[in-house]
Amino acid sequence: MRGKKYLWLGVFLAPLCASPVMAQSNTDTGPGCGLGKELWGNANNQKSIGVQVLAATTNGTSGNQTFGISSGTSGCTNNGTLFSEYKVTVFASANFDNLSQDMARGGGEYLVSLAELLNIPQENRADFYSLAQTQYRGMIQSGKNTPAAMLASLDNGISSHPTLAKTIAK
Amino acid sequence: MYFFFSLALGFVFLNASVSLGQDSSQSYLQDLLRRAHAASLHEQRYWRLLLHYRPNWIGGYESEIDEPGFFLSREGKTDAKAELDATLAGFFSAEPIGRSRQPARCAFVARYEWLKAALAIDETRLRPEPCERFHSWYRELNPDSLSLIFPSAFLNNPASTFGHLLLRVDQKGQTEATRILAYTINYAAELPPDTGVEYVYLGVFGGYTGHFSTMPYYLKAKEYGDFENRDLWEYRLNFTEAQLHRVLLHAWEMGNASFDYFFFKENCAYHILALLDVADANLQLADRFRFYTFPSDAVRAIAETPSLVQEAVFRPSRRTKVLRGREGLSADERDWFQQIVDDPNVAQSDSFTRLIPDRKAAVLDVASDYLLYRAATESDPAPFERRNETVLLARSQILGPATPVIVRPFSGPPDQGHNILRAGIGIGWRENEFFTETNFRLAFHDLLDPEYGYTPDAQIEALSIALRHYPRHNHTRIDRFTLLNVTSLSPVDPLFLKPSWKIDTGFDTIQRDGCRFCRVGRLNGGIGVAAESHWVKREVYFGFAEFVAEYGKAFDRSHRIGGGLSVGALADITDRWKISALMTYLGFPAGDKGTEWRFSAQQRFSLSKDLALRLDFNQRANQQEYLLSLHVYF
Repeated sequence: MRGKKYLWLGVFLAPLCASPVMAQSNTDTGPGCGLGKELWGNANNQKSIGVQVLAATTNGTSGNQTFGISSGTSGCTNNGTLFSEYKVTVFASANFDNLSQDMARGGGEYLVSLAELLNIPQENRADFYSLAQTQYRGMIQSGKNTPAAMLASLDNGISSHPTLAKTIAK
Repeated sequence: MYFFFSLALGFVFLNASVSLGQDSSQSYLQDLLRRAHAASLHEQRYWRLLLHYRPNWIGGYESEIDEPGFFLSREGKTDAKAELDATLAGFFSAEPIGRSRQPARCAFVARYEWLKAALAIDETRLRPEPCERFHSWYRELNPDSLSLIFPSAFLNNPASTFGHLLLRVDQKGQTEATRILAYTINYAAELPPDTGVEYVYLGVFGGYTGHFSTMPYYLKAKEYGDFENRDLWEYRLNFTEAQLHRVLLHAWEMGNASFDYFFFKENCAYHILALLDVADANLQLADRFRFYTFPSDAVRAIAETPSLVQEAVFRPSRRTKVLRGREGLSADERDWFQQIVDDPNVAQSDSFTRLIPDRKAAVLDVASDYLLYRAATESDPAPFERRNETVLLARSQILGPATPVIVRPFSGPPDQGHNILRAGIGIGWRENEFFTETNFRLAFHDLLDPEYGYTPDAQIEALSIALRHYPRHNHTRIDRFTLLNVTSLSPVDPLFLKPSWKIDTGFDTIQRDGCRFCRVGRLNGGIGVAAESHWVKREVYFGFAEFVAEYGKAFDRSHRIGGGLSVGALADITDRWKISALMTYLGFPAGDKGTEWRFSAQQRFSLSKDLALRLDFNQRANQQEYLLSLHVYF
């Protein structure tokens, strides 16, 4: 089930998005700042056919309240938008599968968007994309395939890359 | 002594200036109120748009918004003038109001901007209000333009044909690759986690509450494209900076609003249109939808507004990517694809690695997409995720940037589909006599209607009726009525196996045992398979196991229940011409026992997007009927 898929994600990512929300006992199964069940609770195979039918149009529970406009702050979100410090982790964990594909391919909208979020300058993007491919290989071969491991391995790659290291203010 | 005297004087002046200050605010407010009344601002269209006032049955106005916190006046929901007065007064107060707990000037930024311009409000005479929450939200959106997003129907779930509608706030400096980072504006209903069948009732009759939210587009793209496998159509809208600004100001105001969610009328499409209407008083999009709003009709309304749509961009679902990707592979490559999907280690075999890098990449990309499709749609994703890892490992060994792939849609953009209401006139011949017919269908699309802009092989008909006049007998009657007729054909594919199914209920008129015009109620259901070929253009074949229950005075014991088999085919001969044939054999062991053969052959010729000719032949037992009709969609 989709829910289970993200369960262990939350454990890995918890340290990255420390927030008071995590202090409570919660069943958060997302990128650690409070998103998770609200996002993927809409998994289709959990609902009966009739509910699915109308869910398709009323577009039920996918994080509508978490991202409510002017709803104040809660975990990852601020009046409906993401806090800057969580943008990368939320993106990586929400798009983990598509991002993996793009890393393996050395390009694609998810990798480009990640480069954008990481503020990689345009002239260094080509280096970043080929670095991503290399790092992906290393990451899989080391057996740790999670959004946290992915971001960590990219981070390491960038810091030890001759040109990229200079562009990232640490 | 002088010290105390000056202190006392100081207090006097202080008190005087405070109350003078209050008096001065009060008098400024009175001034604004006076000028607002003189200009009848509360009657202006823009005020009504911002407050969502609609004429009610008794000649007044009522706001569609159901949350009390949206109104500053107790009578705000029904009294536009009281609300305007209370709003002006609210601008002078720092009291946090509404669900969002902001001062009125910040909660209702659109009202403030409009009134400020209309009354030339001198902001220095109001208390300073930085409205930091609003400004930081606006900065975060970094708005450049708006796009309208339409997720098209699920395959195998015809009800999703109604679709959904949301907006995306495109950012400055955004490219096609980074558009997934933009925020969306979405209206949806909240559902409790364990909803059951009451969903249908509550959804139709306003039992749920709807709110607006903004979330990154990548979350919506994932939900629709990867989990539900619905293609997305993105319509880039042509708003000026000022128009866009007005829409976003009002979107912020929606943070204090909630609405009773009505599946048919006040659904996502309707509220998105109402939000867009704020851009320009001349748009009047939501006005056109009084009783029900189909999302595809809403898209049509927008696309038909001159110069509003800049372009339509197609975003394929994962399923479409797999289908198109597989089409792009040669027969040998498809073989590799199948092997790798079953055992990814094949990707490391000598013969595979000897292929040229581009073709290896193509095979591995489709394989990965397919494995992720299975992972997202199966109850146990783990095996597919593991296989995908191995596939991607092999893929990462092919160095160099990926070649971008263009994925073509299977059907045209939804705004170019036929209109939903259909009416027709026709003449026919039934058992040696002529008749004339008029028919009408409220919704939605049948298997022979022009398919462009619609999900192929899916049919939903609701509330359709046909009236006939037989001149020889001087007899007029309702010939047939369909309450609901849904058919979903899923052509078998080694990758995507789903059953085809159908349900149908309504009544017909038959001739039986000396009764020339006998009414028969029917309930029919079927489950089966379909297949597809491309000999001429596209053909679909299907077979169903059928269940039939019929009720009518024509039958002994007034009813018969049974089942049987049907086989049929649909074929596109040209872009405009589609034909269908169906043969059914039924046996009725209960009620009026017996068997029955049925046969029908139908064709449709499109004259234009919203005009088509139909020629139908129907045989039921020994009764034959021909009908030639003209259908208009509006």
